[in-house]
Amino acid sequence: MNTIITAVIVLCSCGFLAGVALAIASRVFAVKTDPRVEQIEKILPGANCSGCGNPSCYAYAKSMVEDNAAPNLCVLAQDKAEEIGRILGKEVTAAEPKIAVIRCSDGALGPKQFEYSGIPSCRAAGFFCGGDNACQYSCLGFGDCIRVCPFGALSHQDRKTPEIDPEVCTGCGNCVAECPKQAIILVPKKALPHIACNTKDKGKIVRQNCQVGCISCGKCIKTCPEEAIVMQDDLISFDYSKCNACGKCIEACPRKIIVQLGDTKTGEAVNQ
Amino acid sequence: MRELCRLAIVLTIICCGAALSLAYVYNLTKGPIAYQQRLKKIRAVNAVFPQHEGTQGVQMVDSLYCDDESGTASCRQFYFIKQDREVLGTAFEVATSGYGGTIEIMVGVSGEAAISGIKIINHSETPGLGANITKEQFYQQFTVKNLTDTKWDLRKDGGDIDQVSGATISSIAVMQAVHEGLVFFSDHEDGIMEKAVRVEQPVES
Amino acid sequence: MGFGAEFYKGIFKENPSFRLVLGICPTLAVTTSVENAIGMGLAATFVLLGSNIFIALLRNFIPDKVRIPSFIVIISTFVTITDLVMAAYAPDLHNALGIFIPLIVVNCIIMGRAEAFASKSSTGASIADAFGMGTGFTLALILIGSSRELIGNGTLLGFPILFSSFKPAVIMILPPGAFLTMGLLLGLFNYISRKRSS
Repeated sequence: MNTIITAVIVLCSCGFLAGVALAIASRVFAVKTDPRVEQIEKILPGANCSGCGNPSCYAYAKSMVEDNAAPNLCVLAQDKAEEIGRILGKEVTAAEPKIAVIRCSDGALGPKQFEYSGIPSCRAAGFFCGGDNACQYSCLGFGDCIRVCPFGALSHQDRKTPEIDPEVCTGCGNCVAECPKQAIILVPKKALPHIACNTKDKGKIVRQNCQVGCISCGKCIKTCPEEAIVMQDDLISFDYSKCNACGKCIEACPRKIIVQLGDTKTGEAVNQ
Repeated sequence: MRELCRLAIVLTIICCGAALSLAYVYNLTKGPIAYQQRLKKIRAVNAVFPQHEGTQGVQMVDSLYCDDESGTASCRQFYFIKQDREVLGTAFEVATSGYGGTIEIMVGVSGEAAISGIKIINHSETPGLGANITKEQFYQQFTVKNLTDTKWDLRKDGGDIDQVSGATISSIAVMQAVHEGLVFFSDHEDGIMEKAVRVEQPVES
Repeated sequence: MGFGAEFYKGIFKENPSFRLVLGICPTLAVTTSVENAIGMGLAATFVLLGSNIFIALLRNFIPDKVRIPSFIVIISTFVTITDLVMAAYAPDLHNALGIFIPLIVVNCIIMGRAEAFASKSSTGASIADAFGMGTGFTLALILIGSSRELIGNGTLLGFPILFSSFKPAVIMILPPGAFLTMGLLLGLFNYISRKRSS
């Protein structure tokens, strides 16, 4: 009985003293934070994907409150931008949702300049004469983009060009920054056409290096009724503010290199 | 103010629960723990008197002997093996610091002031090296050793004790502790034996 | 996540020793034999289970500001109970594990699960998590302990396993052996998980 009383008295007084000390400390050393930061952080997805340009969701919430950052930068919380705006007392419109696409049909298809057996990483391979692919603009296929994707939206087999799952991709842009060939771009998440080639070579060289690459024939430019396609450095690009998704360029392309978004099997489509 | 109270009260309640459950378990295990510790000592005493194990009419008693002469009142626990009031052997614990920590040794002395056996109760020597002091081979050489005829040194220093290979420090520690215990025993033999005769209450096991 | 998944994740995917690399001090120190490894693993599992259940039950009652002291009190209560029970009923094991039983209080696995899981999850999920993490920890300890005991002493659970001419490599039971084994097993686990993912 004695031990029980001693134990209870000793431990309880320790607990009580510690509780009081902590309560006082929490008041004396309290750090004043804007409650809005915490509110916004709860709305944000917490994936810390850094697609908004901030290192973490918390940092983004803080920069919205303190540095007046735009509330619609988070690709995952587009539908909640309005809610965030209400907390901040701002009018907000949701930004156009985007998605990443790889501008290469299949780097593994073309001829090689040499046999590469180094570290299995695009960045490392790219240091040796721009990689083993004859086409200097093609996907090296070691999947660096797959490894940086915080959502697991990319996958590939062997050294084929990775496929992006449009259902999973959030358009955070991590893979865009990672690709040493700059072969990945963000496009609007509507079913719009894009070009599955990244080459800036002249048509003749492209023919030597790749069966499917863009040869800069310009047929798509002539076909487009909206003049939404422009050519620069022997590579076409789309002006999505003009494109109406008519699909005429897709039919016109002799190399079948312009594809509709959502058609993830670009490589196979081209092979047939 | 309300939050302050809440923090203190919650922590107090949790501590209270912890204290109650701990006190309960402590009371529950107090007996068995004391029993286990005693059992360990008794087993060690039995181990250093292998010749008396299981003999009819032999019982064990224990007593605290305090060395009052030196003034420091250092007390040691002594265990006696008795048969019909005759003291067959005395066992006592010695402790020393070895290579890895404290080594506790039970030393048994039979009637002729010679060692009957030793047993290491606790040690934290290096496994595979110093820990080999717990091997039977090492124990056995201490049997029949005494203060008069034995040179208490390692064999390589001209003594009579074989060391455990690769564990000179552990071997010396054990040897010196046993020797020191033996010296204490022979210095105070009369007083200790006087106690031994008086104590009647056998050690329950 | 179902209870099954909560359980299985502790065994390989989030194995506390090889994947999370938590609680390494007892992992390295007590794995000189399989018996110690099992004892330590079971003790830690018991503490983990007890603390996870209580913390999950009390998670809405404990204010955020005193959660760490509260967790520590709950954990140390279970550790002390384990210590006392082990001293009373398994004295040899208690002797062998020595200081590492009281040190379970500051084992990162237990504090980590309390803070990262039990304080945010339902009681059922916390029980599954505790069992999974405990099993993973125990298995990891057994794996390290058996490698070290086999190579360093030629025995398993105290029984001689290897042929009599085998000369034990004592270094495996010494502290460097713990680091060697841990490092090699960590490498193996990384290799397996990389193989699995690709």
